[in-house]
Formats: sequence, structure tokens, C-alpha cells
Amino acid sequence: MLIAKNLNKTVAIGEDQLCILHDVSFELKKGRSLAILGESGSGKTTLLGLLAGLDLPSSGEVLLDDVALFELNEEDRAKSRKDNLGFIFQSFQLINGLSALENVMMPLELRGDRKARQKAKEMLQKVGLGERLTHHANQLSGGEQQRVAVARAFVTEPNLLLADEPTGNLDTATGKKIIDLMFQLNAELNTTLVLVTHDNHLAARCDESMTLSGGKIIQQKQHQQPIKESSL
Amino acid sequence: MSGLLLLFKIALRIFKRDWRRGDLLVLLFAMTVAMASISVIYLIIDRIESATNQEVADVLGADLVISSPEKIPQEWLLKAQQQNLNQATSVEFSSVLFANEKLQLSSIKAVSKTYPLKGRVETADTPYAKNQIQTSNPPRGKIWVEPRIFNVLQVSKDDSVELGYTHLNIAGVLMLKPGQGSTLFNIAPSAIMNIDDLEATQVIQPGSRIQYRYLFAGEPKNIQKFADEMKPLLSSSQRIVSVYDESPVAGSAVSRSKKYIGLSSLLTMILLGVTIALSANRYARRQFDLSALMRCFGLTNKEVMTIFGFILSFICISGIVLGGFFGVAVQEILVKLFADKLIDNLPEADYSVLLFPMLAAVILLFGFSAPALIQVKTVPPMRVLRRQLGPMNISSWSVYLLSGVTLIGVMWLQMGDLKLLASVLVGLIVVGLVFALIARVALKIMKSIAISRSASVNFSLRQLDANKGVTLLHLLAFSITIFVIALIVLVRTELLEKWQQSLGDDIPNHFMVNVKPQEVDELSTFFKQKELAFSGLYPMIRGRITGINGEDVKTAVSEEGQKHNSLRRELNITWAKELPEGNKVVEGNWNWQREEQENQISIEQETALALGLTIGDTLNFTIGAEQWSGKISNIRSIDWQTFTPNFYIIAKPGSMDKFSATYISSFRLPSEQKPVLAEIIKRYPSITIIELDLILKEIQNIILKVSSAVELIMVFVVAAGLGLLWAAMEHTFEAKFKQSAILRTLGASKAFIARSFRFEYIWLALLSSAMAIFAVELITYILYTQVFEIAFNLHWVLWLILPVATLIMMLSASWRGVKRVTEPSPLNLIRQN
Repeated sequence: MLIAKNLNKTVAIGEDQLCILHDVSFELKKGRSLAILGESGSGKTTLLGLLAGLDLPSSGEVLLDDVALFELNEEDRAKSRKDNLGFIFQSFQLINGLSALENVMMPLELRGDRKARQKAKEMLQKVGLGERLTHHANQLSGGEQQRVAVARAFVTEPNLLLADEPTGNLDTATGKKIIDLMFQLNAELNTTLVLVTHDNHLAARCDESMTLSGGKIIQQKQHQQPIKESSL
Repeated sequence: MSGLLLLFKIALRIFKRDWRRGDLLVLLFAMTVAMASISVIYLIIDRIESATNQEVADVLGADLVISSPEKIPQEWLLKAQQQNLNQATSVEFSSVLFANEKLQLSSIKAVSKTYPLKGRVETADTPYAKNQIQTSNPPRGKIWVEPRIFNVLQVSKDDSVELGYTHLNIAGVLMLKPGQGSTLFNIAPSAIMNIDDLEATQVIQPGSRIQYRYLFAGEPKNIQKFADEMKPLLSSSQRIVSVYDESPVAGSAVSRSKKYIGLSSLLTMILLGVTIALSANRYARRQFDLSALMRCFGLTNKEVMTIFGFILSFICISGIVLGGFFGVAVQEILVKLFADKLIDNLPEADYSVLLFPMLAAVILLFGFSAPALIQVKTVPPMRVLRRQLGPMNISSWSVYLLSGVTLIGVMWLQMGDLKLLASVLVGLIVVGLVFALIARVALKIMKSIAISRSASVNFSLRQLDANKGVTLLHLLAFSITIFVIALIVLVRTELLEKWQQSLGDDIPNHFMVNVKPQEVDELSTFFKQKELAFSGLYPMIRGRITGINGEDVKTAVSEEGQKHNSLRRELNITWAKELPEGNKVVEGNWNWQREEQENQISIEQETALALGLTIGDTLNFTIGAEQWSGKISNIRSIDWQTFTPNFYIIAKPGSMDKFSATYISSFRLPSEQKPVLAEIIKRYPSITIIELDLILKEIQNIILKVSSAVELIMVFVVAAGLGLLWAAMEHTFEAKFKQSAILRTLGASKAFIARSFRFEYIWLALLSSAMAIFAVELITYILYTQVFEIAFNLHWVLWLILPVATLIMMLSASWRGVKRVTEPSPLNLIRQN
């Protein structure tokens, strides 16, 4: 269960205070998916960062499975991410120079998982890259790189998966495949999914959606029957 | 507005932006350090060299001496006048001094009023009494004579001695004169008289054996110009006398220190070249986006290059101004702090020597930045749409090669020592190739053993292999830095040790020659009573080389060989069963062949080379009135830095029995025991004692100066090395920001990230120090055996110290950087989207 309670984020710009997030609250049950929509500068990325514990709010709290993130110190928040979170970025963010397999092994090794290699191989096979294990990021296409990123995000079977415009750098067909893959794994592993997007169709595939504007939630929707197939 | 002006303005704007952002900091720092280090080294070298030259001049009695068997043409002296050089003349010949119905063959020096131009003559009223410094030549009708003449002729001050057809009054005992070191084996004692009395003696007749010495002193530039003018005019019997001829020990120290300084400059250049290449590479990488954007705006490749060319010029000018300023300031401070304490009257700095550092800095910057610039030029404009697009994979080696060759050319012009340059470069190329090979294999192996239970160890090992190119670059930079620091400290330590040995408290400072065989036992008892020890008693016979394999030397030896010292004068020949200390057989076998009927001899290496002699050749000598020959059975090298009697020719014991020999020995006499000398002379009037204590002091001064130069220069090379280490470290941090952010997003703790990065530095430190040790051993072997002529041994201590020191150095240097890369919020990573 992911709970955001009255999240506020204000930053000082010179002598002025700029409010980036204003009183954002929501709840997301285990296994459900939430799309965060909004224009550029609406506070989406800041909210995602706060949900991951990468940044601290000016006030408010995030509870992940009843653990209050901001009561933890920085190291414990990092541990919480290691144990609970998966992340997918718009520009993939694979570690340069490491092979696809080594990239996927990374979060498992951080957990001290001794079967890291085996699990990473299986996950890469699941995302269709069983033949590309030893390829490095620069030897893979954009779609393949994002699939490695998806595999890396899901390989630890995280409780919460955060995705920041995961198809932003991909062509339509490839983006569709990635989204399908994400939702497929989300369903298989019962992972809670939060994704930031500009795409209303993609948002419609989620169980819930939320639209931000000027740092405030201006619209929250429960989708009774999320679209099962990508309409992209 | 013209196109070029527009590009200039754009370049200026980018330069200002990069300055504000701090992007230029490392490159500008590298350039400033390059200029400052080279400036400091050149200024200090120049000042210490000037000081050393002064000291050398004191030994020679002038800045430049031309020695000739006949008078030199008047035009030559006019040329010296045109160069504003002071002049003095001395005419040297052997003649007999008479007094009290006794006679003594003496080496007479008739000198002009201004003699000596440099250094000093010291006299005393009685032998070994308190010395007085003389500021001019002896007045007309006066003569200064060495102590032995006092004894043999039984004269005292103001007595008259007869020389040829004239009488001269003794004005004092000659205790010290320039060039004393060279008279070591001159059996005849010396005397100095006024040149104006020479004619009256009538001793100089056509065919007399005379040596004219023309002394010149003046501004170094004028001296150099005059020497350059003279060199082509000298005949085979004329030569410019060097400090080597006057004092081989000082000459050798000066020559080795010059080589060391040359080596230091070369290594500093290499270090700074790598520093600039790394910093330029880092700067260029930061310009990829901008370059792509400019190309999108419609600028051509050439225009982009022009813009970055302008930026480099701004950096170059700023670096030269800043570096020059710091160089001059630091040099002044250092000289005030250290050099002044060691060197009296250090000459003023000559800032014109900064021209070379400027030229070198320009070549370093443009040469070593060119490959990085070309990369910027080849960034595809599509990068504005797809950031992962990098520059075209061009081969930068040709550009590096070109800049390398240019730099080598400049260094060669500056150093003029091709052997030293070639030794270091060949060594470095071999080491570089072996490094690359070993590093690749090591990285592969390390990666395959990355199955540690520690994720941070695994990650660090994989990272090294993952970025092979970057890892190799860093390994090369680190190992070169460590190698240069280790090499420069090592060579300095061994050179200083060597010099200290030649200046040690127990080295002999007096020589005894002309000891009769029957006096040896008696002398031993006398020395024992006085608690003095003399060592190495060598028989000595003087002979002149007259032929090779029966052929006259005039035809058997090349024109160049004719100039060699060994053919100009009588040589001291000895015989010995054991190889004397400081001698090393380089060809053949020392053990004399018993069955061989012919006389056998051993010859000094340089002499053999100059005269074109090999083992099996026979040398013909004239000894007294007799002819004598010896077959060369081995060739020796001699360590001229020892103050023991050294011989060009050593014969097999027994082969010179028909000649009556005298003996030569050396001993150390503390200054408070000086009266013992008078006692020896009184008891054994035929013995000549050569005092080297005063000349030793001069030599010690020279060595002290070159030692302090070596010390100071070492400090700068180490500083330049640390500069490179910093630049290389900064280069490694660049890539780590992103890695750190990704890892933290994945949940890695800061401690994990710091640990894994530090493990990387540990592997880098171990690998680079291992490679540096290999390089140090290889290059010191080449340098010691080929350039410095020092015995080579493996440096086992280095094998332990270097990895530990490197580990400590790299971990401390990376401490702040590792902290810095783990600090920024990973949120920035998401924001990049």
C-alpha cells in the first residue's frame, strides 16, 4: 500500500519561494497502477522523486507498506528503495560499459542475492533478450535498452515500480511493446505501479490516474475497467 | 561583421560561460601548472647553471680557455675583444730552476697581468703557512714556487733562483692555482712568473715544447658566441679546455647533473602532456552537446573547429600569463627559501629563458588537445535529437603521434642529448606497449574472478573491464605519474649518494708522487707513527704513445683521434695484479695470460674508442729514450668520480721490470695536521706532495650546487606528477556521477557506492604501481648503464613502498571526489528526462 499524505514541496529561488507541490495526497493499494498526468512543470517528477524517497518534502509524508519514508534517514531510505522499489527512466539509464546481464544483476547483487546471475538471465529471457545477454548498452537499440531497464526494474519483484515517461524516447511500436511488457509483469508479480506520462491513452490503461497542475491535484480518476490492450 | 570576428565573439562567449561554470578549471589548471613548472625548472636551472659555471670558471681560471702549442692568430684575440671578453695569457713550459748549486725540473707558467680571470692564486710566506690570496700576477722579476722547490733548492722567500738567462726573486710559496686538479700527475712542481720576464730567460727557442693558454671571461652569451666562432678555426693541436680536463670529478658531476636536469625536463613535459591531454579530453566531452547544437544552427565543421581553436588560444594565453607569473613568483620564493642557503651569490634570473617554456606550453596544449578537438568536430548534429550519439570513432593516434614528434623535436633541440632522449623514449614505448598488453589481460582475469560475495568488489572489477578504454587511459596516466615520481626520486638519490661518496670524509685529499721503492717501508712506518693511513701504492712510469701495431700514431689514428688527451702528453703507466677500485673490465678478461710471451696491457675504454683500438692491438710507447710495446688484452671503464689514482694504461706485472719506477699514493690529511707535510718534504726531498684539499673544496662547491639543483628540480617534477594525478582523478570522477545516481536510485547506499569506487581505485593503484615498478626497473637499467654509468641493481624496496604509497596517495586523493560523486540527489537523473 502506497500512501502520500499532504505532500508539499517549496523551493527558494532568490528571495522568492516557489511552490512545486501543494498538499498532494492519495492512496494506492498493492498491485494497482496509477498514472500521473500533467503539463511540463506541473510537479510530476518532483512527486515521483518524493515517492521514491530521493528527495525530501517541505512537509507531508509517504508511507510504503506502513513505513513512513521521511522518518528514515538517507541510508535507510536507500535500503527501502533496494528492498521495495523498481525504477524505469525515460532515457533508460543503463550503466555504461556493463552488459545487459550485468545491468540486470546489479539490483540483485545489491541485495546480496547469490542467484543474481540466474534470476537476471531468466528475467532477460522473459523480456525477449535471452540472446542479447552479453551485449552492452551501445550495442542495443533504444527499445532493447528500455527492455533491459524493465527487466532490471522487475527482477527484484519490487513492491512498487516507478516509471518516468518510459516510452518517451521510443517509437510508437516499440513503446507499445514496452508498455505491454510492463503491465504484463505488473500483473504477474502483483507490483504496485506508478507512472508519469503525458499520454492519456497510456493513463487509461492504469487503474487510476491523477492530473497535476501548478503542483496541485486537479483531477483524480478511478478507471473501472482499465483498457487491457495498448491503444497506441 | 566578418565571419572570423563573429566566430571569435562566439568563442569568447563560450569561454566566459565555461569559465563561470568551472568547465575550464582543470584544463586551465593543467596549462598553468605546465607553464609554471617548466618556467620554474628553466629559471632555476638557468640560475644554478650560471652559478655552477662560475664555479667551473674558478677551476679553469676563466670562462673559456684555448690551449695551443703555438701562439694563436691575433684576429682571434680581436674577435674576443669585439665580444667584450677580458683576456689573460699563460705560457707553460718545463725548465730547470737553479739555486744553491741545486736544480729542479719545474713546470713554469708565465702569466699576464690579468691572470687568473676567475678563481684565485694563493701563496704563503713559508710552505704550509697561512695563505694569502693574490689579485694579480707576480711583479716583474718575481716568481712563486711550489713547496717542493723550496725544499729541493733549499731556498726561502726573497731568495733568488736562476731560470735560463735570468734571475728571479721568490715572492712566495705557490699553494693554490686554477687548474690544480689537472696537475695531479705532473711530477714537476709548478712555478708562476710574470710573462714580461719570459723573453729575458731565453728558454723558449724554436722547437721548445710550450703550451699557450689563452683565458677569456665575459658575459655567458658572448662567451658562447666566441666559442662557437672559435671551434671551427681550431687546428687538431688546439682545443677548448673544459672542466673535464681540469677536474674530471667536477666535470663528471656537472655533466651528470645536466643529464639529470634534462631527464627531469623531459619527464615533466611527458607528465604535463598527459595532464593536458586528459583535461582537454574531459573538456571536449563537455562540448559535445554544444558542438551538435552549433552544427544544427548551420555552422560548418571548419567553423566549429575555428571556434574551439579560439577557445584553446584563450586558454593558452591565460595559462601562459598565469603560469609564467606563478612560475616566476614560485621560483623566487623557492630560491629565497632554499637555494640562497646553499648557494652564495646566486646569479639573477634571466627571463629570456622563459621563451622555451612558452613554446613548449603552446605545443603541449595544441598538440595534446588536438585529438579531443577533432572529436568535438565530429559530433553528429543528430545528437541534439538523440543524446547517446557520440563523436565519430576516429583514430586519434596520428594526431598524438604528430604532437609527440613535435615535442620530441623541441626537447632534442633544447637538451641536445639524443642518447638520453632516446633511452627514455624507447623505454617508455616498450613499457607502454607492454603496459597495454598486461593491463588488458589483467582486466580480463580480474573480471572473470569477480565472483566475490561482496557486490561492491564485483561491481568495481566489472567497471574496470567495462570501460576498458578509459581504464587503460587512467592506468597509463597513473602509472606514468608514479613511474616519473619514482624514477626522479630514485635517480636523484643514487646520484647524490654517488656524489657524497666522492665528497666523503675519508676520501684522500693529498697525493704523493715520486716515492722511491726503497722509501716505501720507511714511509709506512712514518705514517703509522702519525696515525695516518695511505692507500693504493702504485708504481708509475711515464711514457708517450708513439705508434699502433708498429705504425706511427700520426697516420694510424684518425684526425679526430689525434685530438685525444692521451696523444698530447706523456701518460702514467702502472702495473697491477688486481683490478684497481673504480675500474671495470668492459671487454676481454682481467686475468693476465701467463703463457703469453708478449707484454700485455689494459687500456681505458674512452681512450681505446678515440684511438680506434681493440683487443689484440699493440701500442708502442717511448719511455725515456727506450721503445716499449704492449698488446691490449682487456679494456676498462674508469669511474672518474673517485679521488684515487687512475691510469689510462695498466701493464701486466713483470712486463716493465726493465724500467725504474717511482710510486704514487694518496692519503687523507686533516687540516690541523698540515705541518706533517713539511716534515715529509724534509725527510724525503724527492717526494712531491700534491695538495687537493683546496681544489676539493671548489669541487665540493660545484657538487653542492648541482645537488641542490637536482633536489629543487625533483620537487617540481613531483609537483607536476601530483598535478597529473589530480587531473586524472578528476577525469575518473566525471563518469561516476551518473553511475552513482543510477545506483542510488536502485537503492545502493552511499557507503556501498563509495566502497565500490574505492575498490576501483585500489585495483587501479595496484595495477598502475606494478606497471610503474616494471617501467622504473627497465628505464633505470637503460639510464644507469647507458647514460649515467652507475651500477644497476633491482630496487626491491621500491616493490613494497610503491604499491603502498600509491594506495595511500590514490585513496586520499579520491576521498573528497568519491564523497562528491555520492552527494548529488539522484533526482537529477530523473530530471534529465
